[in-house]
Amino acid sequence: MQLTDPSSSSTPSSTRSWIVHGLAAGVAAAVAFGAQAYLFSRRSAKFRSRVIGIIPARFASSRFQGKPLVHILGKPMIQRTWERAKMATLLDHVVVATDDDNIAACCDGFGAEVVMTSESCRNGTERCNEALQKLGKKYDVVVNIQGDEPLIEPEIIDGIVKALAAPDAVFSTAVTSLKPEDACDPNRVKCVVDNRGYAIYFSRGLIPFNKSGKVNPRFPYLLHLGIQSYDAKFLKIYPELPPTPLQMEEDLEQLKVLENGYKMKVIKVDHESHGVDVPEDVDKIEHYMRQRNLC
Amino acid sequence: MAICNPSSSSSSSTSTSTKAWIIHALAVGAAAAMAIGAHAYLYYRRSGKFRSRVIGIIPARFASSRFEGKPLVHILGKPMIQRTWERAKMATTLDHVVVATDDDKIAECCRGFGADVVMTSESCRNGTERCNEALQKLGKQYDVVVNIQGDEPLIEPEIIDGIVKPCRHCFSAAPDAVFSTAVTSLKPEDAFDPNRVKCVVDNHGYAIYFSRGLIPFNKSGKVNPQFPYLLHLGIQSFDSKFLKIYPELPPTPLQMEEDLEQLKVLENGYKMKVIKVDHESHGVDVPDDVDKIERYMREHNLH
Repeated sequence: MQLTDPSSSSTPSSTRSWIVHGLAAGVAAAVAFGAQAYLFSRRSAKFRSRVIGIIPARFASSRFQGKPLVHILGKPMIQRTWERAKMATLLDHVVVATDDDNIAACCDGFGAEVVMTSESCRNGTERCNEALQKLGKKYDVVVNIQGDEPLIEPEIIDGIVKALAAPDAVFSTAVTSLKPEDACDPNRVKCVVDNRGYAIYFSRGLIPFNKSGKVNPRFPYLLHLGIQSYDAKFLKIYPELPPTPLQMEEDLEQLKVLENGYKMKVIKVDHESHGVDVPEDVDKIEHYMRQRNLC
Repeated sequence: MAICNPSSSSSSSTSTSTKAWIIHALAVGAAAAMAIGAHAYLYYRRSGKFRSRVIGIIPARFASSRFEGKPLVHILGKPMIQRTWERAKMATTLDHVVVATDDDKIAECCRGFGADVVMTSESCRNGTERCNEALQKLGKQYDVVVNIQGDEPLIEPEIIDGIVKPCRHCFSAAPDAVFSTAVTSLKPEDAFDPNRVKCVVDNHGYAIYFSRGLIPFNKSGKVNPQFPYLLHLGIQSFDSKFLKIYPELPPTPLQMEEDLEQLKVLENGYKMKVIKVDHESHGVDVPDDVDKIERYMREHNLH
């Protein structure tokens, strides 16, 4: 029986195989470690999400033609909204998305960046999506800031951006306390949420609705505010999703999100809504601003 | 330079690398076998060939603010609880049907027509708690529990089967739905009746919300004759693990304001499957309903 010398003959090939195994294990460990670190940083939001605020502003309107340009205490409404948006700390960039040259020129005048979009956009969300596609840079989160809420608090914008960090939420929005006198107003949209702050439903009818059918003065009903923020990948597909039955019956676009099974995070804020929908609202808001020394 | 003899060195490297290859091959083989086994098991469960054990429970209490002793009231000569039980027995997906009651008279009546009875406490706050208590008392293990309302004596067995079938798949293969229930078309005259509970669903058949108010609610505030509004029916089916924890979950704000227990499911973030059925609701809530239902049954030759 020939005894082979273990050290000399086994060394070259088994050493090689050990080296190969060692390298493979090392690479696998490095990849695993790297992946964990990446996921951790994304989850922990230390990952820098790129956030853009878009103010859709169209000229045409059934109730108030040229609304973005109306002067509120001497300054165009679109400028007031833009200045407030610029104060939000979590927006990397703010643009106005419009379909009208007058609005574009006005915005250039006070230093706002403008993206021109089609007149055919059916709503603010589509306009935001079109603007997003046109912008060169990549963004992770898009905030749709209503141009007709010139007193929007920057903290609300920051709040809905933070809310979008919630797991599996592709959309976030805000609510505030509903005033009892608005309970039966179908123009005031009510909202109900679950115990982790995800939207359950939105309605023009009073929800929740108790057995008596009357407003309960002790229940904290919620009023939906128009500000919304989207995951950019979701925004790409959202306008193309076909309209859904509840969305069409209530005429509430956000219901399309829920009807398609997506999750929506809702934050509660203290905000007195001062939307400007019709010319009469201008006097109301100027009156409010003078009373509070806002200029 | 020493040139190793290829044959002799390769024969010894062969023995070590052969061992290594054998070990590797065994490991891969074992992993593959486990993967195939796991897939086969999941496929078997998903394909519904997996036999979920389903129990139907009819909670029946004696006390009632509006109609004391209701389960025992005679409808065309037969106790209501018996009619409901007979209908439940016709459902093909139930392995077993029991009546869960807190009253000896009801228990005796049920045993009289051959039903299995589980005695439960008077302190159960609602049918769901009673179902859960009954489930705990039963010796056998069940995967799905159907809560069959005792006061719907004309419940179609197909509706019971209808809410069990999707859930046999839901519960085992898609564990996101822990609860299922049924809806039917809402009659326009019931739109503003807060005793008729309306429901809205998403495009996969999951419940979005339930309300005593009209939902969806359009800008005009009027009923839309073209919209297919949905009326919630009282029948419910639970994953049995969920049923164990559900009655203990604290009441939630919307549940309390609307006085609708099912909202607790949604407010806690659980998913609920909804099936649409054709069913004319003939619930017996107050003594006057007895005449109504007897008249209906005579007209339709039901006895």
